[in-house]
Amino acid sequence: MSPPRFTRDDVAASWRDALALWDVHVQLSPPEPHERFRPDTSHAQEPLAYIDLVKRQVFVNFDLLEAMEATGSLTAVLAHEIGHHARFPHTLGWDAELRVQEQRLIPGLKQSLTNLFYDLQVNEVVGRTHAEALCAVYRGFQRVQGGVMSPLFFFYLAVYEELWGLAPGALVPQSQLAPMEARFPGVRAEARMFAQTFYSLPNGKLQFLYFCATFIRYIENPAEFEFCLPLGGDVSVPDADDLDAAIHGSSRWDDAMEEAEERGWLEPMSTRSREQDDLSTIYRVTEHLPGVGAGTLRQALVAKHYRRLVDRHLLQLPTAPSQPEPYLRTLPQAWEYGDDPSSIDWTLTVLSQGHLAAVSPLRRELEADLPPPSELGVPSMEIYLDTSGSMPNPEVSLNAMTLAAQVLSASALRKKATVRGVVYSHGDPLVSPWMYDEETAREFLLSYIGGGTQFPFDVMGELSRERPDALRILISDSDFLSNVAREKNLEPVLASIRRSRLVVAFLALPNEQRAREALAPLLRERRFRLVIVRWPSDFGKAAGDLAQALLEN
Amino acid sequence: MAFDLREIQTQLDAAPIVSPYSHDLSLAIVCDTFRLAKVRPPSLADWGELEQRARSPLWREQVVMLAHVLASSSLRHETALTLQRSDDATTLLQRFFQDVAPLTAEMVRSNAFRREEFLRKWVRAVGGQWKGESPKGSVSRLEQLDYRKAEAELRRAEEARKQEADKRQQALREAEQRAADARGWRE
Repeated sequence: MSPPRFTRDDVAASWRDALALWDVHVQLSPPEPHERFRPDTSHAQEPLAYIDLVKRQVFVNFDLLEAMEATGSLTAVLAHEIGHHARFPHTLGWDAELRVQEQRLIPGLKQSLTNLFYDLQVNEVVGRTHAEALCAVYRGFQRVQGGVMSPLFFFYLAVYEELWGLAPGALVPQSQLAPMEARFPGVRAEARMFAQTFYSLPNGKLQFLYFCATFIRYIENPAEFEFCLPLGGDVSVPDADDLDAAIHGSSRWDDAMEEAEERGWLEPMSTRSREQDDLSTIYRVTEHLPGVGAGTLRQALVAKHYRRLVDRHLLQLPTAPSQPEPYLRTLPQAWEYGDDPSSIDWTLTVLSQGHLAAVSPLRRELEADLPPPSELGVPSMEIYLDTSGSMPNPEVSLNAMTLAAQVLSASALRKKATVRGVVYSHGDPLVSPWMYDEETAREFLLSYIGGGTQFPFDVMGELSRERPDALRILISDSDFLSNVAREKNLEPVLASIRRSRLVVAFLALPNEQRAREALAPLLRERRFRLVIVRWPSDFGKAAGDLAQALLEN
Repeated sequence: MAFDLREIQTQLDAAPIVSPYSHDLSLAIVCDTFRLAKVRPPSLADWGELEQRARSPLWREQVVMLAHVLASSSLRHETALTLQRSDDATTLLQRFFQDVAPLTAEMVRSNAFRREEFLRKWVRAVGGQWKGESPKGSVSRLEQLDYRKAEAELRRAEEARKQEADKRQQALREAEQRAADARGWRE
């Protein structure tokens, strides 16, 4: 319920004015009053207003606005929120791009600056007609919040003073002018130059790079940096798809980066990390978001990254044409009046009916040779993936063995096979149930244990008894040879090979001869094959070839 | 008569961004403005002297930009009304070009603040006033917009920034190292 200070008509009138301020036609639901996130805390800790960019709904904290003595600023506050919807950022995809670049420029930044950036853009437009109302909000916030103003907030407000032609101290506390100038020499001149340059830059990318390059001076420790501003945290966080697209397309920023270097805003590339692999970027972008560790967002982004790599190694299978040409003749049937005369097979009729051919002709149709509903003959595939410490965690760096497993499983699943993953290192391996879809298999095969290597021969024995005819692929490196050498009794291993349709040891080894010697007892088995890649980086392509060889016949 | 900033800016927003006038034509436009006020315009020799005194590669583009803003808005008309017969065109122009020395045509074209500064400096040179503004307010606004002054002050900030930069680079490197350590294994 709105407090009586804001009647329904007041809010409706302000909403109308706020919508009219943006020169685009937008259709949004009228604003809703904000419900406290934590009813036990003071309303100063709650947001003043925000827009849910997924539902496109604006919420306003009427209580806080009243406490700030800024009730006359309702139109400006609403216009500010509509500005986020209409122009800055407008889409969460753009927000995701900025977040990715921000982590590139200020590694380890705890709280994103993107909202501050949009506020500068939005307030310039709103401030053309409602500057005083916005000033009332910022002054009111200082009254309600209390405490010492952070250097970043000081600089941010100084930019508004310069933008709106206010005297120094009109928004920032007078008492902090001299101490800030002593601590950050030239802060005022910098705010002036920022206000007079930022808004004349030709595009959002350059604006953001200039913004980061300037504001970084007022962030003392990026890893611990947190701030709370009025109208600050009012834009939602982008989802995994937005971030994935931003990470994948970050090369779109190269031109803007070069221009920023030329203008002297950024250090030359040589002093920054030019090569940013996607997994590092994923790590940085997700590092400070809630849910890191068991982080589902990071896992989702990593899974999307591996999926892209898998697709690079898998051929697109040609699909059956949707309307195949009919060419097979059907069984003969009696022709009747009304049937198509061209369907009469006279040769067959004369041969079978003799002189009565003309009395009862036979007809035959043509039909298409439809493929069987599913391709048969693809067996179940069991993938044993070595995730010992000699290979990296696939979430933080490209793990070639994991990629090989992903390629094999995706290939099999696209052929309608079922896949089971066994991720091992030492101790108990992780065993998945039989999986039917790529998403589940991809997620499971991104598991990582680390540590020593002990191939789970006993698990393979058990599983081979449970599903005897499966295709078993063992992905490992030279550790597998020592695992086999350590097995005193190879008989159970040989038995499980015999029970399988085929067991393929897919190993990264520099020396094939050594492998043949070490695996001689296994190689004598008819159902055992050895596939060797020289370098781990060859695993992906080799897995694609292997999948084709095993599954395409 | 007072100059109306909002009106002039609206007219300039509607005009082509790039000046369509050549240097010679621009000189003629500026001279015509003085003629309209019945003030003797600078002679060709005076223009040569102005260029020599300016000793700036930006001078020619500033002349072209001045002609463009005069011809594309009511600035020329207001200027003609404001100028006094006793004014000396060459001295006035010399003062103006000294004032706008660091401004490039690109700045005036693409940055609303720089354009306002350019206009305000012209009006100050011809001794005009702005509509709806007190003389004191106009002075303080021009002070706020003064690019030369802002640049000089910014140099202090840049020096301080340079000193801070090493510290910041170190902090960023450490942050990167921490992130790399947290990720663990690297290929």
